[in-house]
Amino acid sequence: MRFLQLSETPHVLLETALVGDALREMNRHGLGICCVVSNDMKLVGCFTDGDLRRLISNQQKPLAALIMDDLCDYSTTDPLCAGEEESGEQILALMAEHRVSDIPVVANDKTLLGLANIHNVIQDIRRP
Amino acid sequence: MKQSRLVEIGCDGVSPVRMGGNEGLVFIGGPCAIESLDHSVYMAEEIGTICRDIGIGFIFKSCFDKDCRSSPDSFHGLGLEKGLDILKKIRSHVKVPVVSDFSDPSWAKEVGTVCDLIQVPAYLCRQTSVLRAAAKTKKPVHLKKGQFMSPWNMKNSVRKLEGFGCDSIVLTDRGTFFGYNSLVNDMTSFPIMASTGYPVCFDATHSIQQPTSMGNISGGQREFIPYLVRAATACGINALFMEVHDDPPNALSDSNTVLDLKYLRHILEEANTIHNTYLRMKQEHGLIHVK
Repeated sequence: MRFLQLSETPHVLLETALVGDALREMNRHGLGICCVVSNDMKLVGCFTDGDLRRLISNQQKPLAALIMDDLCDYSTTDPLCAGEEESGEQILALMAEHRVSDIPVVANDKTLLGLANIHNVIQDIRRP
Repeated sequence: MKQSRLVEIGCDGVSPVRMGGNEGLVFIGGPCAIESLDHSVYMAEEIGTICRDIGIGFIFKSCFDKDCRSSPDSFHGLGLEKGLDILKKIRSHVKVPVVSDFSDPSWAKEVGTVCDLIQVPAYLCRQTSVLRAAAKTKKPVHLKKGQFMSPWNMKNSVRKLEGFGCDSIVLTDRGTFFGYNSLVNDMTSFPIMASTGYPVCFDATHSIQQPTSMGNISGGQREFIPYLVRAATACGINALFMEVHDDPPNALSDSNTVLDLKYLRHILEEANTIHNTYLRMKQEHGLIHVK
């Protein structure tokens, strides 16, 4: 299964990033997700449009304060992941089961390898 | 409030003062500006005695240059060389750590050779060149929140300092602009700034200042100092900062806001009692995080 490689899309932020950093990157590149990694590229969390929606709905802080908060405070810390050996059909089934359109792809040691987006998964499945 | 990391201030001949975590309250204080060697020694000794009696750590503060005076005719300080020489003598004679600020990045190196704590002026808390110069001294940095800054945006200045290699920082709130010629004191700034992981301090004498309210000098309402000190210490600050003078009407700088020395013991005793009560409560009941 060909997933979006790390070099192809800037959907990765270090765990020291702020909420504002995530918003800027997600907005600049039209992404609904960003993956949060440690210094050695291990996946430690994900922050999605849904997380942002829940954050704004539940927080009473001024926006100016919210964007200065640590991203890790609001990321999903045990995100749904796929292994690099999984097929397009398997990943699509996972997406359907959990109602998501992006899934990080990780190695056995949780090193982030890339991102499987529903569009490129479907494209991959359709490829003859 | 988040438990802060410990910052140790003082070395080479003075007993270090530890700030943060569950340490006792620390007092940073002295005359706004260095006026003379004799006056500085007198004030350092008097304040030092009070702090020793009460049992709180003391860092002597006084500035060699007052770059932010409203009027060009106001006293601007004894200058870098003379001022630092006096601070060096305070260290060796009174045996207390000293702190002073600097407004020109080129002064930082010399300030760092004398002072145990390097103060970044509130108005300059965002200036990258000043923060870089402060960090380069390798001394702990006393970062004062600008009157124009939100407490959450101080994280940017903290990150700059950390990026320049400094991980010993004390964050101080000295009041926030509230319309023209007035300041407000927002107690929520302490837990917000403490979320950076560094100790926080309240500057009680600048907080009651009325910036440039008297034409070309600032006014102040000293009567509110004890109230704000009690409120801030109840919030869990790690240190208290006050400018103190034995003759406020004739102080060469900030005469309308400096605390008269005769009130210092009482205010510090109150602050210390509240601080110790807070520590005891924290120990017995833990830190509460309301959501």
